[in-house]
Amino acid sequence: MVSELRQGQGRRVSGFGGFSGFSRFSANHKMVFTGGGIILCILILSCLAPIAGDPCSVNMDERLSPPSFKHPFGTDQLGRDMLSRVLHGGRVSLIVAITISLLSMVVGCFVGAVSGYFGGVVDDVIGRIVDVFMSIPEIVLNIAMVGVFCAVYGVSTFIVIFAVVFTNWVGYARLMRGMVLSLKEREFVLCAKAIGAGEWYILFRHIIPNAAGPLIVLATLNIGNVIMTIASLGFLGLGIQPPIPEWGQILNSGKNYITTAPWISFFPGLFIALSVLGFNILGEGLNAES
Amino acid sequence: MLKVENLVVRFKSRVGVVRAVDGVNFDVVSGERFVFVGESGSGKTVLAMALVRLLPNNATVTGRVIFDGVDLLKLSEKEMRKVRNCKIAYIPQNQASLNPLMKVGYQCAEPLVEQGLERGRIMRKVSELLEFFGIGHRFKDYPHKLSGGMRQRALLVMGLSREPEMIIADEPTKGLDAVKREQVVEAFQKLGRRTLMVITHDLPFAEKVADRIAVMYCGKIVEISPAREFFDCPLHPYSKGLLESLPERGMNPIKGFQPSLVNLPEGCRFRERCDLSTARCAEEPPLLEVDGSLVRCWLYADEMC
Amino acid sequence: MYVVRRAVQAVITLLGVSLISFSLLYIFPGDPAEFILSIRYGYEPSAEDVARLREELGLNRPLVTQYLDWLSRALRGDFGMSWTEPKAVMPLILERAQASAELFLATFLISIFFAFVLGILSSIYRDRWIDHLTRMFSMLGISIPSFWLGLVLIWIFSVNFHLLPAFGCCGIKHLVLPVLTWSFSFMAIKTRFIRASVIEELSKEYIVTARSKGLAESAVVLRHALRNALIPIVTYLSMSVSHLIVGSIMVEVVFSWEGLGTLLVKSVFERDFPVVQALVFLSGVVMISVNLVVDLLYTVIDPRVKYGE
Repeated sequence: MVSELRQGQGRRVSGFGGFSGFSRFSANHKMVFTGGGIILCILILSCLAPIAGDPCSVNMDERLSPPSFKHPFGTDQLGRDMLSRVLHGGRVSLIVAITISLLSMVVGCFVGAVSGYFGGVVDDVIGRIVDVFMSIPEIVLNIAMVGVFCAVYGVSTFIVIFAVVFTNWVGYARLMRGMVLSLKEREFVLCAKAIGAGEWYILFRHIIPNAAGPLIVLATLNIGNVIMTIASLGFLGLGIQPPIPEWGQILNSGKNYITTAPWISFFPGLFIALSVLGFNILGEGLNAES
Repeated sequence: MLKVENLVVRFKSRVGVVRAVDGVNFDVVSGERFVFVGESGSGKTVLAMALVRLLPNNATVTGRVIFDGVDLLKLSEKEMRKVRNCKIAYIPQNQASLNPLMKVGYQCAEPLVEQGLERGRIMRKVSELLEFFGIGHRFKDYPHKLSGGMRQRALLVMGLSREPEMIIADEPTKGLDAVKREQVVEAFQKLGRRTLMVITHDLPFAEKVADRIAVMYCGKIVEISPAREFFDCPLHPYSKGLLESLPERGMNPIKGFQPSLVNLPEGCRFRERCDLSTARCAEEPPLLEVDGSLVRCWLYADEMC
Repeated sequence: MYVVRRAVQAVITLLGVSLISFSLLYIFPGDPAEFILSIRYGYEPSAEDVARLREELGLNRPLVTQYLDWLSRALRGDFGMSWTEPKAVMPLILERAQASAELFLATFLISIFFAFVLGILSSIYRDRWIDHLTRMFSMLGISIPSFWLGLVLIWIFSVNFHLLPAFGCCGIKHLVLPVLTWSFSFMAIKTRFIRASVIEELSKEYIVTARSKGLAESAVVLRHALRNALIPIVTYLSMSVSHLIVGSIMVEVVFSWEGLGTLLVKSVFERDFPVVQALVFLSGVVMISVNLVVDLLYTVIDPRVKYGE
């Protein structure tokens, strides 16, 4: 009861009611197109990033200049062009976020499927582990982990990815487990068993493909969350480090110049908001319940 | 007491506009027990809910529902609320119709609270009514502790508390076994001479309770007869089919399936499943009067009243 | 019995959390003692100093012993001494807790109030302008980073109009901007859930019954739908502790609010690991306890759930 609520966190993915992968795919088209459109724009802009110039070229003459024709997003405290920084940052954020989501998905789905399918002790143990992870707020653990690692190695992108995946896989595991539990008893599984198919075979060829629909919805929403997490970590100085541009990190660097050059923090934040918004709208649109 | 003229209920759906109730006309006389029978999907429940305007927003209701001289469909929502429960009580189907988190006694008392009576009187009245139907001891219980039959009786109490002029009961025996059905019959007998309109697909129950029977099929009324005559000698082929499909009478099901409301056949809607259909049935028959009954079938077109 | 089973679960989870907190210190290679000394004194420590500190901190004992020792002290609230401040960890945390609590309370009360109002209104007037507005607002609330919003508000109200202070603490004026920022995202999430819960209740059959009794629409919504939806809503609200903690960190950092969030970040940067460990552990404890209490309360509040499930 309560545990079902815990999983939803206010957003119910229709994996448990009327799912069946892609076959009965109903979607709110307006939302899908709006969300997809926003993301597409950002993707295209990110791809065009090199055209905007070098995000790292320092030019002290032009430091802290407001948005102009030459520098549409202004320049930062080192004279670097903000437009190119933001666009390059977009590449970084998107690639890293998608990587994290994919990794989390792989880990989470595997664990969840195993847990749901084999049940019993395996399920109990995995369940407890999942509980433990869900009992510590994600970002607290992320901050702590990144912080500890960076004490020795200095923060690296890999550590950030590892730390976020470490807490992020749980959502996928729960979804997968739920789906497997429901699908386990359906006819086509019993048929497969009747013809002597092995357990792993059933799992991979029958059950997992059917879970595709809700999984995609979750992944979409998750990418948005991860972008936010990376940006938050970046803002705290615990994310992807310079010279690689990253939205949260750029925003943080602009914090001290808010009186003189607010555009430094403004634009990266705007892009964070837009990309997360895009993924959220897309995810909601795909979610049959919206 | 109640006169329904050309009632049509349309639903907007993804597949188009569906006419769940398609031009229904009937009268209910004060004090009589008028029972609607038909298969699921024939539009009976929609009809009942339409009379008290409890349908969801995607339904459009047209026609006239004249109760005590007033067309209910023309009233404002506020005025309609005064009619509901007070003049016409709608007793919904059993299932989840009771608020699971509210005590039974309180739920039954709610209409009286609306009316503004003082607390002591309300308590007494509700207790009396619950006693009357044999569930007095359930006053302080939550619905999940009551059996199906008891819940049905609690719903009856809810409907009766303000002593309405007319009661519309929707599928009162749904999901109940024969024993519980008897209890409901008893409960209904206790209602005395109140005007009663019952919707049901439970024919044995209808036999025990009805004064007049109306048969619905695919949104239209196909027969209205006095109860005794209906059960002894049904007129419409569909009615015959219904009765013959009862276990007591041989359990011969009607062949075929009800047509989908989105894809209705031309002419008589029962044509495909009827053994007696003729070429004439390609045209929709009107309701014809036969010996005090009304039938929608060409077979009776040549008989004089 | 359900209570016992649930309590055992909670204890096991707590142990797991403690394990994670404890191991934070040990997951990186290198010697913690060496590390501490190099932070404290700023240079490479001598071997004797390291050895002495290791003895002192008991780092030579087997890991299991160290863990159990740490756990038993943690359960009593003793997290040792801070590595950077001349204080014990727990008092340090408690000092800061008050400031966080202030911020939290103000935000919580305001957010809940508006979340309820908007959630209920948009569920009643579904698909009308207020519903669309609320849903858009919610969407924005969960998508807009709170740290960015905070800076934008600072720019508008502090820098440009000089109406409100940008940082510092204590006093209503200082509370306005942080609360506004935090409430925006907090409210957004809650509103969606409240709206969804009420809509779900309104689609149930007993609502038709309620209407058939001639009740006014407001009575139907408030007395029946909302009351029934309150159970999942309250359950959900009490579990938003994690949202709370997440939000507080970012908002506190933006507004330099001296609370637990800034403490965590500061400790991480200063390599003050005992504090980090303690905060991770405590956040876990809080969440587990809240969930446990809510789960158990649920059995009492919902008459359909039998105690001995």
